[in-house]
Amino acid sequence: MKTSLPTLLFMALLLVPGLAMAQTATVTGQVTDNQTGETLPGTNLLLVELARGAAADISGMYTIEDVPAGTYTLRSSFVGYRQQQQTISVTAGQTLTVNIAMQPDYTGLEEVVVTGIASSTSKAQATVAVGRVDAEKLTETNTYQDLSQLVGGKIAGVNVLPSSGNVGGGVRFNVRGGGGLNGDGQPVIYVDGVRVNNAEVAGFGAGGQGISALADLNPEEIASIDFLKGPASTAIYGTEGANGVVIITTKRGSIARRGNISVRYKGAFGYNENIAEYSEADYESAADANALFKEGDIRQHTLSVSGGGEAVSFFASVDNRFEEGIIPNNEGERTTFRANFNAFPSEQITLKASTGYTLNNFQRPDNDNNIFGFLGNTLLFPTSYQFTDSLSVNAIDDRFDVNRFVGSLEGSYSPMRNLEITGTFGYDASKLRQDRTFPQNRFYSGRTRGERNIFVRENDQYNGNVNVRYRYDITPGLNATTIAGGQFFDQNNRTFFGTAQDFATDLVTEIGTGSAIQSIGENFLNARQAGLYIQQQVSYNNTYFLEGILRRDFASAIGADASSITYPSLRGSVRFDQFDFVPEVFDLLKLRAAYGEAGNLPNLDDVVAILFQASPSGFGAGARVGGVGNSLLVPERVREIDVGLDTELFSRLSVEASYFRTFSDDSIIEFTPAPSTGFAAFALERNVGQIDGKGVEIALGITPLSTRQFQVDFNTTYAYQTTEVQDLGGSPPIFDAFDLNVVKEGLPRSAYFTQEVIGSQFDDNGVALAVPLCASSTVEGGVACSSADADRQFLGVPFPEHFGSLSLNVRLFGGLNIYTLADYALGHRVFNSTKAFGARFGNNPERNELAEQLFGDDATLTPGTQAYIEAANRYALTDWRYDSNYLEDADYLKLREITVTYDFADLYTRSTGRNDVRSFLIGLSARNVLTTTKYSNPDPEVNFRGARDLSRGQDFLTLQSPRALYLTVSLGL
Amino acid sequence: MKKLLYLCLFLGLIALPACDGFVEGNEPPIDTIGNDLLNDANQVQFQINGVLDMWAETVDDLTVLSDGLSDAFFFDQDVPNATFPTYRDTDNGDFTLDNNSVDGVASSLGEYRLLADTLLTRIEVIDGLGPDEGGFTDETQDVRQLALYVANLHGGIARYFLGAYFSLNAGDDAAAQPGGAINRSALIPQAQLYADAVAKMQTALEFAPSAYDRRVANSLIARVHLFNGDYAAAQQAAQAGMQEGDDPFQALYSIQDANSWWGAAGRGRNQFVADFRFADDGDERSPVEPLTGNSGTTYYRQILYPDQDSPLTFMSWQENALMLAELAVRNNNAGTALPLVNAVRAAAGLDLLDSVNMDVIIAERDQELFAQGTRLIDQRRFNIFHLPAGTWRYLPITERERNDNPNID
Repeated sequence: MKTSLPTLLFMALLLVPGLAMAQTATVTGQVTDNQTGETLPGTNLLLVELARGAAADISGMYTIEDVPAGTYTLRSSFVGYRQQQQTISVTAGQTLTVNIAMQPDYTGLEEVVVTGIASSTSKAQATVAVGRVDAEKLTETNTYQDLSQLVGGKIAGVNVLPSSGNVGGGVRFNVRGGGGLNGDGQPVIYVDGVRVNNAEVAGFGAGGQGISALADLNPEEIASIDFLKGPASTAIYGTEGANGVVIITTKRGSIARRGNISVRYKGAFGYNENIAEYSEADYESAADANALFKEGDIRQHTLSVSGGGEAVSFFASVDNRFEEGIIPNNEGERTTFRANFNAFPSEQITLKASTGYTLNNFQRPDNDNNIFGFLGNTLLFPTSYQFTDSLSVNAIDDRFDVNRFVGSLEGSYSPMRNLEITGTFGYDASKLRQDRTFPQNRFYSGRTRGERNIFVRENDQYNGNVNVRYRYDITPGLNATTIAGGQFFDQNNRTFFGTAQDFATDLVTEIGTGSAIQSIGENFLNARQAGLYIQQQVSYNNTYFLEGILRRDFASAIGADASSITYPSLRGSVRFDQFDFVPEVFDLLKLRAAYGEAGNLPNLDDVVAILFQASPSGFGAGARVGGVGNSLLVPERVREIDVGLDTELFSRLSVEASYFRTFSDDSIIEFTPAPSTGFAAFALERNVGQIDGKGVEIALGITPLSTRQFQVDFNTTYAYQTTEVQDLGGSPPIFDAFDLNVVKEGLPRSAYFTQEVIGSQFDDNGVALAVPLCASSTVEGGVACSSADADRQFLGVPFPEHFGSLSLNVRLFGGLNIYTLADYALGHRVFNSTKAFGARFGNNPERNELAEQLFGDDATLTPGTQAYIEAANRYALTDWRYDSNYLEDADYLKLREITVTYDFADLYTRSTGRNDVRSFLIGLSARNVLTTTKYSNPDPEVNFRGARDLSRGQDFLTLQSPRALYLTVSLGL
Repeated sequence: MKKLLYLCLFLGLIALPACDGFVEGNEPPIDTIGNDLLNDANQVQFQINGVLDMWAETVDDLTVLSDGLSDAFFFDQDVPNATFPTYRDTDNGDFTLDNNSVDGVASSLGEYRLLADTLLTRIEVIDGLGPDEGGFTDETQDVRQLALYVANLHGGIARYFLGAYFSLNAGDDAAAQPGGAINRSALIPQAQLYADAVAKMQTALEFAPSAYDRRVANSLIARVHLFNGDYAAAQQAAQAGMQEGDDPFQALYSIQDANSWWGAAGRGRNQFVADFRFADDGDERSPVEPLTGNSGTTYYRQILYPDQDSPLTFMSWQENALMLAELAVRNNNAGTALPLVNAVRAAAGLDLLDSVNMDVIIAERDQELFAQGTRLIDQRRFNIFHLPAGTWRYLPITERERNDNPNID
């Protein structure tokens, strides 16, 4: 047989792999949890020098083949465990078995948190403290109505106040004093890279409460939430980052445990009920108000499917939640759909698509500052329903329907090792329609034969981001990353509203059949922002970390040149645990310091000198003043210094402590021009304000016990925050519409500032005078109360000064889990306006009795006697004309969440021998279980003007947040 | 690597102007316009309407508050839906300087004055309408004449409002310092404001589009003179004023821009109710209807303005006649006054009187000018104020003016 040369060569080539194989080794082994011994499928193993690795399979086994002989670093990593690495040596042909026991990361040290637009890092290396909520874990056994419930109590320094107990109601985040004087004090929220609208929509008012755009986000879809609290962390986000940035990541598919698909169903079934009743000692008519309370059903079903392989992974879910409030006319039904895809078409390219669609319907009850409200008609007068009869109150129908799409596309391309180009495009489109109907056949003050209101709001907003990230080593040990990029944001908001009265019948509510068109109109807003940023990170020996950030921002301003502004940031940290002199018990001992700037934009039309508008009238539409402005206006600048210490001992105890100071200048202060100028209906803004803030945030976590059967985790947070208005640039104190909360030099933002009644005045005969005695800063013993500003006193703040939480998670016998969360607030005061108005209208039993004793026809007390004096003083201290009398301490401790769950999956597997059930949880949960407070109305957290108004901490006929009790069933296949 | 750096620098350089262009390219608002766009002959009618609109918006609030402060109306929280503390304080003449009901009307009045004065100056600069242009077409002449009439007449009315309804202090006229400010001026005393109002109205006479408009202006001039105590001048103007049969001069309202009486003291919502003297008085000029209070007490609400779009009479031939009658009584000429008063009564279908004196004039004005904002002024003029000494007899110049006006403390 003749063999040609080419054939020989071909055969030789065929042998090459075999030869090569003979010269390589295989590394294999099993990965387990070093505490429980459980196998850990999905653990990533990497031979660092080769940049090659493998994932552990269903039984925790991994195999890396074709390893050339040599010495390597084998790195193993898995979510929830400490990354670890070891040096291994293999010889040609060897099969080396390396079993790995992973150390659970009880304290979250290895958790990767987002620290900027294009940066994320483990907590151990972060130069700022990032608050993290592990939503995926919390929603395994709890259900949350909305994002605020999910976040509340979980992060040090983040206080969340719902403004009422309405389903779908507004929410206020109190973070680091609200970051400056301007803006709405609320953080910017990103969901999978989409800047989502977080407005509170009031539409046609029902007394003060709005509908929160955050109520459209379904907590069940969320994997994690990262909270960047102030400009020291958010400078790269530029203007609008002043109040913090919340980064929400929704759930995504991963390589599935079985058949590349995992399926999960979760159901929740329960009810809401009132946490407390109104006291008959405070209201003659309390029984009528309490009779309104009822149990409201909660039902939720969630079905999700996820899975994937090396090229594609996906997560899809559908969720329906129905919930009734605790009084009539309040319910909500939300249906959400989510489909998220990851695709890896090549090693260089990653694509991510995230899509969420929400159908949200609410019925909002009339309450708060409202003569048609349930509480307004039962708590103000001794005889109820004097404003509006009960049938009419019940017959008001106020509905919101929301359709919303939130989606993003993200692509990243890595043309060479260490270089990554990422682009994200996000879109949030929502359409909201409100229908508010006063039936034709009922009686309403100011409404003639019924009224119909229609409000439509369409909000479309786009955002995009492109950045380049390059990692490189300057010298061995000195690593650097340079990030450069740009962002844009474009919001289009259009509203339409119409009101008609005088309907022929209650059977037809179509607005066009109302013969009296009261109003019709529309609004349109297009606002754009753009920013360029550069971020330089340097680290040395995994010990020293330094970052510098520069952002240049641009924003639309009607009629004037776009304002642009630059925000710098510098932050660094040192890990002392890397030094030999630090005892081994410290897994982490890190000092960090950060400085950053961000801002708050003026309104679009605040920069135009004079605008005119058209207004309908009996004479036809006429030209009227539409606004006055200041063309020199610039964004408020908020600067922050944040220093902190992060430490971990014995892998079980972690402490994260931060101290921050904020300084805001160029704060925009609204001046009301003198009426004689003709412009008094419009505010004129000037950059003349300054406000400072400071505070402390501490988070502590301990895992004292952890075995295969038992685990105990305890976490606690504490925060202190305060602000002080430094300068109003000559503006008189700025009061809220109810003349109680003030922005005043020398006081905290929104402080209560009013006359303080200290007792009664008496005439020469010892008879009590009508005008009480008030505290005075100049006259000892007090003066006759008057409205003069000089006599006003600082009487506390409507935000908690100190707040925090305690949580305990106990796992027993493997499958039984008990979780509790309590949170507290101190230094918090609330104005009980409900009680004040009740006193005014004769509904306060104590005041009525005092009046009888002191001034009644059969007065029992004699002027001059001690009993008379005491009663008169008490009478003065219940005088409804003075807010101080109804300003109450509202510190509270709430047992917020309790959940007891048992996972029957092991039992099922043991009894059937089958392992097709991944989890089978049955749990009992409760929310707002117990409230301890000195506040006399049911709930110290409410505010009658919703979540965004300058009026804060005022309870005026506002519905309490309910207690929820429910059963959850969760099955994972 | 260098290429990449250069590329990034290049991209950065073009990104800066691109960002600027992007944010400036936003769509304009649909509900506001710039000041300069109104310097156009085609926009004059729009601005005339604006002046009339602000007049209507001011006069209803002003009459509600001044009648609330007078003895014609009162506030009682026993009345269903009467809840505003600012109205309670108004009724008691016990104003705090931050009374936001007064702020509201002061703000409207300021804008009304501004729009009238701005229209006057704008006419001078609009192409084709300026004083030196000459040779106006009929159309532009009409527009120009109407604009100058409206701007002057309402500039005058605005100044009359400032003088008649506002003061710096509580108390009687000696203490009150009645008057007002214009564009952050020092306090312009009432007499000066009245004089300025008359001067403006007299200029308006030159441009009055019709004989009726001239009569209206004359009646208004007469009223200002009368309130200023210049009876001779009042007499002269009233004689050229409105005549029996003339339509009333009214502020107009629509459902969208409702008469404030409807929501503050009417069928929309009752906060102020009419004094009991108007109940069952058999006088249709002060129409009221009963209303049950929370305690069961019967109150009376005005129905002179029964609907949202009920017009508000600001001057009528009847008021002109009553002014002439009052002036006749002041001149001891009751005989001349009697037919004037009886003509007014006859028009309302009331029995004729046999004699007239000042008390009759006061009572007739109380009825004929019911809910038109003059009772407060009459109570001051005739020294029949019903509240204790030291209370407010005018609406206060509020903190807002004092804070932003360096010339008023």
